Formats: sequence, C-alpha cells, structure tokens
Amino acid sequence: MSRSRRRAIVGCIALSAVVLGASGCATREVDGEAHADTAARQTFLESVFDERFTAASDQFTAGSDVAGLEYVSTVGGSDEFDLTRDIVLVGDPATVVVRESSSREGDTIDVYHEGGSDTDFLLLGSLFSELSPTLWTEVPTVIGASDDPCALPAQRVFCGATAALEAGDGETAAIYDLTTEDDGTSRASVTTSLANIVAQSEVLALPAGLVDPDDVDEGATATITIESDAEGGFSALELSAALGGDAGRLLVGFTSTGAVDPDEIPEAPSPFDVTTIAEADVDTFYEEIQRLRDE
Amino acid sequence: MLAAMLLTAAGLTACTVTVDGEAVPADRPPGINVDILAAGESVDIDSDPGATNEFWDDNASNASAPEYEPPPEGEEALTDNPTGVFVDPTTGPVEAVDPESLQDSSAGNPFAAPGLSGQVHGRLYGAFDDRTAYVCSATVVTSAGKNMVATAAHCVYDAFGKRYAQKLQFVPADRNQMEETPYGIWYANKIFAPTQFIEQAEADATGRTAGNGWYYDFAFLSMDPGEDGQQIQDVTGGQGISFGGELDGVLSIGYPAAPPFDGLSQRYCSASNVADRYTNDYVLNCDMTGGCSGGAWLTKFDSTTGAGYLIGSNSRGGGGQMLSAALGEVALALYNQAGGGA
Repeated sequence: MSRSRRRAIVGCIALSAVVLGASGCATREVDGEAHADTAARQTFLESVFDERFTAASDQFTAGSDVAGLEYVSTVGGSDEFDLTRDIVLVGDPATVVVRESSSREGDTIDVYHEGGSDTDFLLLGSLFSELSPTLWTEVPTVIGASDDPCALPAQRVFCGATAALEAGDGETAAIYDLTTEDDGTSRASVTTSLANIVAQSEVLALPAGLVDPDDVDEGATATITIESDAEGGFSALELSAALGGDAGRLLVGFTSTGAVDPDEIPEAPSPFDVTTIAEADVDTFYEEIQRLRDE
Repeated sequence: MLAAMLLTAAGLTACTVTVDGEAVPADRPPGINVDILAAGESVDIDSDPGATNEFWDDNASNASAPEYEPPPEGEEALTDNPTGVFVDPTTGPVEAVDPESLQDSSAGNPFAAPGLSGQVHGRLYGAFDDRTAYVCSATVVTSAGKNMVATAAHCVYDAFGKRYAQKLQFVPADRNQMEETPYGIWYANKIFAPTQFIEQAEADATGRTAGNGWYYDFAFLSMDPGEDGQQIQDVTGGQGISFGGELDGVLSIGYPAAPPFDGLSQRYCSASNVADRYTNDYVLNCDMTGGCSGGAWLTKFDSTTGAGYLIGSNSRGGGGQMLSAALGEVALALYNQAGGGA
C-alpha cells in the first residue's frame, strides 16, 4: 500500500456514508431518510473488527515471519515529522532487522538482532556518529531481553492498539465502522481517545517529545483502523488522531509488505565494524543519544 | 607524459634473489629464533626526537603517499619464496579465527581495532626533504629487539627521487592526526629495505610505478627506545609475522588520507581470502586510498584478541583493488638483518 493511500485510510472512513439500512420492506416511496438499526449495526461492525484484529494479532504473535513498514508521522501541521522503519522478523526467537529513515536528518538507528542473541547491533545515523567510531555499535539486547512479543517491532503496534482499546474511558462508547472498496479491500475501524494512544507511547516506540501528554485534549478522538485485502487477509493497522491546534494529525501504523524475502536478511556485522558498549556504560550511551536528539 | 610512458613500459626483468642460509620450515617450532639469512639494504636516519617532532608540528597535514597503479600483467611470475616461517604475536599463537570476521568488506570502513590491534597499528609520518611531508601506515611486529616496525618500502624510500626518508615517526593507535597518541610517539633510527626495491622499483612524479622492485615493497624500521628506556614492543605489544604460509582470511588496515577519506582514523578491508599471488603480490578488493600504504595485511586474525600474522602491507592500488607484496624468503632475511631474529 502506498504512503498516500495508507494515510487516506482515515479520510475514507470519515467520508464514508452510513447507508446500510435500506432493506426491501418499503412498498411505496416516502420522503425522508433511511434509518438503520444503529445498535445492531454497531454490534455487527464490532464483531467484524474484533475478528479481524484478533486474527491479525494472533498471526503476529505466533512467531510468523513478518516483513513490512512501521511508521510514525505527524502530517498536516506546522511541523511535520516522518519516521519509517523497514522491518523484517524471521524465525522464533526472531531475528530482527530494522532500517530507519527519518525526516530528521541523521536521526536514525538501524537494528540487527540475531534470534536468541543477548546483544543488538545498532547502526547509528550521522547525528550520533560521535558516539561510536565504527559503523555498528553492539549493546545488550533490548529486543531479545524478554519473551514479551510487544518488544518486537510490528508486533508492538498491535500491542499498543490493544492496550489503547482496553483502556477505554468508561463513558464514551466506541464507534465502529466498515468500508469496502471496489477492489475488495476493506477497512474496519473503531474509535478511542488520543489520550489512550499517547499513554502507549513507550510500547509504540513513539519518538520522545513527539506528543506531549500534557498537551493532549482529554476529549480528542483517535481511530484505530485495520485494513484487509480482498481475501480478508491483514494488510495494515493504523492508529490516528488529530493532535489539535496546528500540530496536524498523528499517524502510527504498520503495513505488511508480504512474504519475507530471505535476501533481506543480512549477515551479522563484521566484528571489524563493531564497537561494543559495556554493560556499565549502556545507560550513559542512551543518555548521550537523547542529548544529541535534544540539541 | 613521455617519462610516464617510459617508466610504465620499463621491463619486468627477471630478478635474481641471492639468499644465503636456510629457511625454517613450518614444522619447526615457531618463535623469533629464526636463522639469519641474507642482508638487504639499511641506512641510518635522523632520529633526533626534538627535531622530528618540531618538523611535524609545522608540517602535519593530510599529505599522502602517492597512489600507485598495479604493474603490468602477464609478465614472468616472481615469488619471494614462501618459507613457512612465522613468528607469533606477543599475545601468543592464534588458535581460532571467527568465521564472521571473514566477510568481504572493501569500502574502507572504520576499524574497530580490538585488543592488540588497537595498540600496534599506527600512522607513520615521514619526509623526503624539508618540503615533502607524507603519511603512511605501519605496524609493530614481534622481534627479538622489541623495537621493530613494519611498513612498505615506498614509505621509506622514494623510488622516483631515489632517496631515503628522514624524520620518520610512528604513532601507534594515532587518532585525529596526533591529537590522540595513547602509546606515544616513536622515532625511527634505521631503515631496512630490500635491495630489490631500492635497485629495481621505479616511479614517476605522478606515482606510476614500474619495475620488479615493487614485488618487494616492504621494509622494517628500527625504533629508538622511549624516554624511559622502554622499547616500543614493551609498550604496544607486537603482531605476529608470517614469511609465506597458509592464509586464513585477510585483513588490511591503514590510515587512508586521500579523498574520500581523511586519514584521521584507522580503516580496513577484509576478505575470506585473497587472489592467488599475482606475480609476487596478494590482491584484495579494497577502496582505501593513499595514506594507507604500509598498513598491515594480516591473516589468522583473531577478532577478539586483535592478534594475527603480518603477511604484507598496503603497496599499490587502483580501480578498487589493493596489492601487497607477499613476505617470503627475502623478507625473512631482511627481518633477521634488522634484528628480528635471535
């Protein structure tokens, strides 16, 4: 799915007409609008969403190989941001390859984690070049530090969405929707609050400072959309919300790019390319990364 | 232009290498007590530390040794006969090589410099006269005198001007052009270069090379002790050296200074193996540029301890390839003459 199309998910949902109810009961023409049984429709759409979300989540947490694009963006605001992660997960425990590109020049950290290894290899962008003399930097693993699948790229988007949905707010009912395109692709969506999304910043690996929780409007609505192909298979998951003011719209998501190409799995870096950060120095290393980002 | 053509066309005539003595075969116990063989050429040079340092204070730059092109192909094969003799690194014999370290890498990436390799490889600063400063790379190798540095002959002898270098100083683990000198600055007092290189290596003003002498592009330096009397090897340790034996991976290290590099840090190329000897050279895909000359070619390199065996040094390059003269019988003789052996 193209970037523009992916980002059109939200727009399509907003524009889609809620016109499902016109059954064959009417025997004569009348003036006025058709009124669906809203409650029944919502129940049906909820079941569709849950079915698709559960199926996709199960697929991602079952150790399946995954290839796709994970992204975090703010669009339409005064200060746009885009971070895209090209992700490959292979095997169980997963070997993980993450290649980042960012609208903040040099602010990228690619990752290579060999399944079962106790270290991660980081390929630091130019913003962080002073932190390591070599191309790669070896640190104690974050990806493989626990059995929690939510620590894995791609899977963490599902985890963040799940947590945001479970949080609810106890007052506002979620609104479900479903749209289907002529080519058979469809999008099932549900609303939650922006606050629920932002509360999952760590799980979703949102860049620090991208959204300030203190600035979030309590009433701001967010939408979680799952896109399926014509056969009902998973295509994409997106969390989106207007940030308010001139901050634009927050988009966080994952788009599958299909089957894993074995050629996308590189070899582990040559030891000649690697500087190892000792356990005792890791905290300082990450603090330095944050310092450089804050400068 | 005419001069360049003449030099390039210079004949690769047969080279007779006269070697007295006996090479030590590989099945003899390794060590530094190898036989004394034939002599090369040696010359005493200015090793006045004060003067040398002052010179570099004034002339330190990214000036680099000339880039060289490979000699013509298809000529008579020449070989510095392999001897099977090797000398272990000061850390002891290398037992195993990490297979992951055998990846092919030709880009000249920054070198991680683990263990011993972070101490013994460095930058060699030299001058052929008061106006011609240049930089090369070099390596401390294990020797009986504990004072030996290996480099390329063209880093210590100007094949164009037919003159030896002066004001040679070696900075192990140099970073940022002597901003960081963790193992000090060491001054050469004597150059040992093969007669074959001195007499038969030709070059023109642009750096184009010709002549059989380039198949012997290696040299050893005898270093002054430090102010406290310590020898350089006592401070840095020393890499092993192999005078013709089996290879297990090849690692080339140096300080390329010509664009796109800046000479401020160590870089490397590596391969699981090198092409068969091209006449008397090893060949490696490598994009490093001038300034890396003299840098170590190592085999059986342990990426954990940083120890390995020197088999040659960066000599000539171009078109994405780097060549190194292969150390063999002549190199062993020179090593012994320089005090490497007993």
